[in-house]
Amino acid sequence: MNTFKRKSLYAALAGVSALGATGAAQAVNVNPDGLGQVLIYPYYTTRADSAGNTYASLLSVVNSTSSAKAVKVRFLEGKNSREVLDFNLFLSREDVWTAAILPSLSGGGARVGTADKSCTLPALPAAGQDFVNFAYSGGSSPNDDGGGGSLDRTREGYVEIIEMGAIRDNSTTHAQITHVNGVPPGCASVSDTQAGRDTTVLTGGLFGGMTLINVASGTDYTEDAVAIDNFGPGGVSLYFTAGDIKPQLTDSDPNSTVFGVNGAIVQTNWSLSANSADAVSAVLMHDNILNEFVLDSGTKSGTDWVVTMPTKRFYAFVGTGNAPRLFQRNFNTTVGSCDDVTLDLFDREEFAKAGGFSPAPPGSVNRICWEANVITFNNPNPAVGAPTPTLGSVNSTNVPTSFQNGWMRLGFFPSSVTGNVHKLIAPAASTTFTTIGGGTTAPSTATYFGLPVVGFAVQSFSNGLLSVGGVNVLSNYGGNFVHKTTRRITP
Amino acid sequence: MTMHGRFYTLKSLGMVREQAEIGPLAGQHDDAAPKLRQDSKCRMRQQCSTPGGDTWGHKVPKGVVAGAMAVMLAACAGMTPGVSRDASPQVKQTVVAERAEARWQALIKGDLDTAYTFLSPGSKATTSLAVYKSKIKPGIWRRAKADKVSCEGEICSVTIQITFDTPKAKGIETQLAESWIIEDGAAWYVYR
Repeated sequence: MNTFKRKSLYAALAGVSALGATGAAQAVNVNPDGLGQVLIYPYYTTRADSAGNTYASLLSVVNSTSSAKAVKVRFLEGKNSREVLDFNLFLSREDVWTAAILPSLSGGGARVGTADKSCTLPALPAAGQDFVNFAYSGGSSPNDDGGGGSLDRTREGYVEIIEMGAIRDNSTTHAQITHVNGVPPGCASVSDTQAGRDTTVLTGGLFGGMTLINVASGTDYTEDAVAIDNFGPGGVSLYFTAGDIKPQLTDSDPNSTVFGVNGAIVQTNWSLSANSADAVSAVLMHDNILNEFVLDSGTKSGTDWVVTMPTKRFYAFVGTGNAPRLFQRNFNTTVGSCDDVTLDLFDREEFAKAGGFSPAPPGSVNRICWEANVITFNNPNPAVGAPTPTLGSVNSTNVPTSFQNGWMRLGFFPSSVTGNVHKLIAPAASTTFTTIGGGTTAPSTATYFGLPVVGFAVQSFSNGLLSVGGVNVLSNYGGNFVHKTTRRITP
Repeated sequence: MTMHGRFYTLKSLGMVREQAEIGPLAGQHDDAAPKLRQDSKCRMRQQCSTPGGDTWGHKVPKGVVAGAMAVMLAACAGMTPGVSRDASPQVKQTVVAERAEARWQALIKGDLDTAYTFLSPGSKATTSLAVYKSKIKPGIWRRAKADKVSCEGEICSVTIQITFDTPKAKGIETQLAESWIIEDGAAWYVYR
């Protein structure tokens, strides 16, 4: 097994920073083409919508390369990103793995099941594997985060898939996990020890998506996984045994690249940073989230926004008071870890109005408090935590508005946010700005504004009776729209 | 009326091997309650000539047999096999399970007109057939079975075991919770 040590690697790479050589070829970036070494699926749910109809979430991951791969599949609940299940998955070349996240058959949580033949360590039971609450419950257990120990928390969250490396051709593991007539011949023989030996550097090329399907009504929403490429530190595999919580998003290469910030390419070496999640956070940083909402009463429309912060758990810790870095507050029991935000709503005729969550939080500053948040509009039940009408999320906040439709800008800089809150500060001499045709700045510090977020909006429409050629047809639609964002990074 | 006779009562309680093959309750469009009674009677009439109980040699709990028999005897005696909130738990469970599975058979066949007839009077008052049809997208469900029924007075909770197919994966099994109400001598699906 690979015994990769992140700190020693960072220490070695610190020399690169000292030389001011931030333009590393290997640098974590979001790949707009959708292929990567890490996939983040912003949301899964098994909750029920306002009609009481339960969702199932169907996940797929594709290995588009000609190399077999070992990946870590990790499910995280949505309040505090506590892990509810992970396992190692082995994808043969050009393989697809599918799975369904469903309500548990025996408890109040969720489970994952698959009919797919690809090997996993450990093997998944035929009836599926229930998600567990060990990482956040337990009364006096140090894992208890105070946010509620119920398995119900596992019913919504998000998914990470992290490549641990390519598996060498002709190796033992390669032979065991490569499909022969559709079935890998040696799943029962796959071992962590051998797989660790047979796994080499990460080669990327993963993509995937999720379908959130309302089983009772047959309607669905889809989402693409956000692809992070060049995640792996150069020259090493990231294979960790099944049952090990690593690799995580903190195990990345320390360099990051963000494309197209005011026409510039921004590259930062985070080797000397205090938090090893910074490289991934940097590529997800946005100072505003923009998207539409449709609430037309005539079409009985509803809109839910998913706003997920996949690195928040590395910055906000259990307790009261302020988070030490980037995020605003620590995770304070059932209140969550809240970040103040601004809401600006616009209708389709350019009429603007400042928005606010309902009921208004203390001090009337709008806040989002979870790691996978769902923001809804005009929820008939506006109480904090009331299920949202479309997705049924209880990690919810409600925006009341008189607009039937329009768009909203969610910003991270209300007047209550001061100092270095909602800012990712890069080390000295770590960052260059390269303008195409305009040269590269000297290495300097830099400030990334906002928070690391991914997500999308889902919109439901019900047009009532729709007659096509004299035949009544389905007129209940669901659509999803990835969030649009702005970035601000300054020297 | 299309009927593929199986001992549906026991099937709905998971006591038989075969998956549901009940045909749609055809013609059940305008006046659901009388049709339901007629359907139930015909179904029971078939069962009257079938050895009651364990057709395939499975062991059947006594309570379930009692419930099934009560419904069957009512039907065989020419009585309307209705159900009331004061009926025994076994009778209510049996009737509701049967109705729940019949509704799902209609959905599986894409027969939303028939599926709509199972809605409670209150549900129909708030959701027209046109709106109902606009909210359901048939085509993903393969199989449905009533796993568990529990009743308190006229209110019943049903757990349905569903098998469905999607482009991403086939044969996915999950459970759905449904609410049913016993009213006007029959069990009705509460649609929200």
